[in-house]
Amino acid sequence: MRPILVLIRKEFQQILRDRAMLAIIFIAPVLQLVILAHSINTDVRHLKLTILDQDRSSLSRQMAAALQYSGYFDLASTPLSLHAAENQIQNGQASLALVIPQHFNRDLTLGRSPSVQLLVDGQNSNNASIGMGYVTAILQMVSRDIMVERLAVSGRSLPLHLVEAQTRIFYNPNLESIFYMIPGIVTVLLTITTMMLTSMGLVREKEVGTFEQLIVTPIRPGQLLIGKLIPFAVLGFLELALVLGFSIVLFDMPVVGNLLLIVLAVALFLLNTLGSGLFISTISSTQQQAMFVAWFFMIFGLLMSGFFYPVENMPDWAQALTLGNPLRYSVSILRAVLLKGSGFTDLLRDYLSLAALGIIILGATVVRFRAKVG
Amino acid sequence: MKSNDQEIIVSVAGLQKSYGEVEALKDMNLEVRAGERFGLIGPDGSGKTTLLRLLIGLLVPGGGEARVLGFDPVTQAEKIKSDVGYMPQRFSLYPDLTVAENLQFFAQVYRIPKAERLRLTERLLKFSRLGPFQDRRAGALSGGMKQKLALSCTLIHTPRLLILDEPTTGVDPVSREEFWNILDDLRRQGVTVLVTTPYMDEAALCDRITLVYQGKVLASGIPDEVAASFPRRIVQVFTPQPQETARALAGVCGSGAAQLFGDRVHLAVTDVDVCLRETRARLIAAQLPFTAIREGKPSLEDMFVHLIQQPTTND
Repeated sequence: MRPILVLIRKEFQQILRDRAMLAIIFIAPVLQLVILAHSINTDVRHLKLTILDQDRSSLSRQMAAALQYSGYFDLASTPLSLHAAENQIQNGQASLALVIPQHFNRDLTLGRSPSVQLLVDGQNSNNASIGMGYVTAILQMVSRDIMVERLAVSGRSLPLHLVEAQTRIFYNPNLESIFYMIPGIVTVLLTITTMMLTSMGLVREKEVGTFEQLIVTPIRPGQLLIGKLIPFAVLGFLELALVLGFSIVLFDMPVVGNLLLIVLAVALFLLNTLGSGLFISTISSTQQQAMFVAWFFMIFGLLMSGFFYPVENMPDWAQALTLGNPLRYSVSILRAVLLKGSGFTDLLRDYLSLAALGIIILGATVVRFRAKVG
Repeated sequence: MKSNDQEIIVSVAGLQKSYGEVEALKDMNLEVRAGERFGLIGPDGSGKTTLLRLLIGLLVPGGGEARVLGFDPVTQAEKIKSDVGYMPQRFSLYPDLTVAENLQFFAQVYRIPKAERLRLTERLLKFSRLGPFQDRRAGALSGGMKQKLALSCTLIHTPRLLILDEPTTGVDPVSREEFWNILDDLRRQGVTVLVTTPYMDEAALCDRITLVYQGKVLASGIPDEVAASFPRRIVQVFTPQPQETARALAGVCGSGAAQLFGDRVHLAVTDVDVCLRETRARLIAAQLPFTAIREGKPSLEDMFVHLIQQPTTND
């Protein structure tokens, strides 16, 4: 036991002395949290809309006003022609252009169901489709109101009863995407500190030659391994506390579920990241190599984790791939526990998968490490 | 002299090691006795480091046998580790820890009790004269100081056998001398030292040496005797222009290539009298200046150069 404590103490001495390392561990998470939380926003607002009103009727003005005050759009300057509206999309002043044709009001009054034209910049397909949805929904509301109004004016009652959905959102009532992001950010930060720093830490000992020096001492390979893993596991938990603490204080993040479940998930997740970190260090001979490999796996794991894009939206083969991705389970468990308050039994499958992956990765690494050292 | 001179600390018999196609050690044999300073002498790439790494259990041999303190380094490495100090060629301590912290760390790794740890650290700092630098980071030390710190760390558990891999390569001459003085102290304390070096002047400071080249033993014994076993005689030419002189004297009276030694040139010859005459004549003809031409004692380097120029004998 004692040699392990000696190794752990030495590791902390080194970490505390390395300013760059300290910054990566303690300042980067806070910066990332603040910046990512504010910039990664899947709520689509402030879409730039331009409206070409060729009708200039009370109805067309009513439609324009409904769009303008919906809160989703920023209105660009009014174009004078279709060509001008197209130009606004071309040069980025607008991403959506609504064209209300001449005689729109008259045609509607005559019962001809006229149409409006919507020009969309499709570069960002996500924003484009969400914007189209907003415009369509708002226009439908407007036309329904008009219909009801006109029927009332003509003294008749509405012949049809529309189905109206009463929406109540559970688990993230204000649909704040930041709360959706925090579990992902926690996962990224844990991966950086535990996987990347572990892999580089051990490779650095190889580079400097201290690794060989340690092997000729009475320290056993197993002790060496544990002495290397524990400090980074401790850092991982510190990081977790730091990010969750900041999220609660700074963003009023509600913690619905049991924190112990979070700790358990992170502990299992760390088996995976520490294991991969050590594995990378057994296949790399320089810190650059280790960093490159770690980055590759991290980016790949991140994109396939459901952090940015829901796993359910991926093609089947990609979904199958994510089953071997520890980041996926970390993101989904943290989300479910933090936002939804899911219990252990609800997440049993995710926990078991994370544990199984961790044991496989760490086990394979220990075997490889022992073979190389012994 | 020492009490148990006959005890064999390290024995190596027919040891072999290959890295893929490259045979680093072909057939290595040597014996290191208790309390002696044993030098493994040879140029870079002769297999010295490979041999040391085999002895400490960092490599597994391809054939042959080794015993260190009576144990097999492959299967009983754990029993050897606590009694052996190994200092690799490259400085391999923690550059971001201070001198004192490095010493403390290795003291703890070797499970030295706290009270003794302080005493030992104190003693080693004094003995290596690193005391004033104990709070300096190891990475910021000069080359010589680094080597002294590395030596101190390998001595922290008072090993019976010290294995040093080219401890003075890349170290300035003053530090080199100081380092060897420290090794003298260790010899007085009865520590057996196995040291490798490419420097022939350091070889002369060892009790016994083995000359190695291309993974094989060329000669072994007491340095003076190894040098004296030189089968030819030496003619020395002292000159202010050694390079040109060596070139001009190549092949004179059947001497082969002339060897440069600072301000002098050595010729390996069979008939000294004939050669003294021929050499003088050739230098005068070439209009090269010289201060003296005379017979000299063969040095270890002469012997070494002679040995490696021999056509390779049958394996």
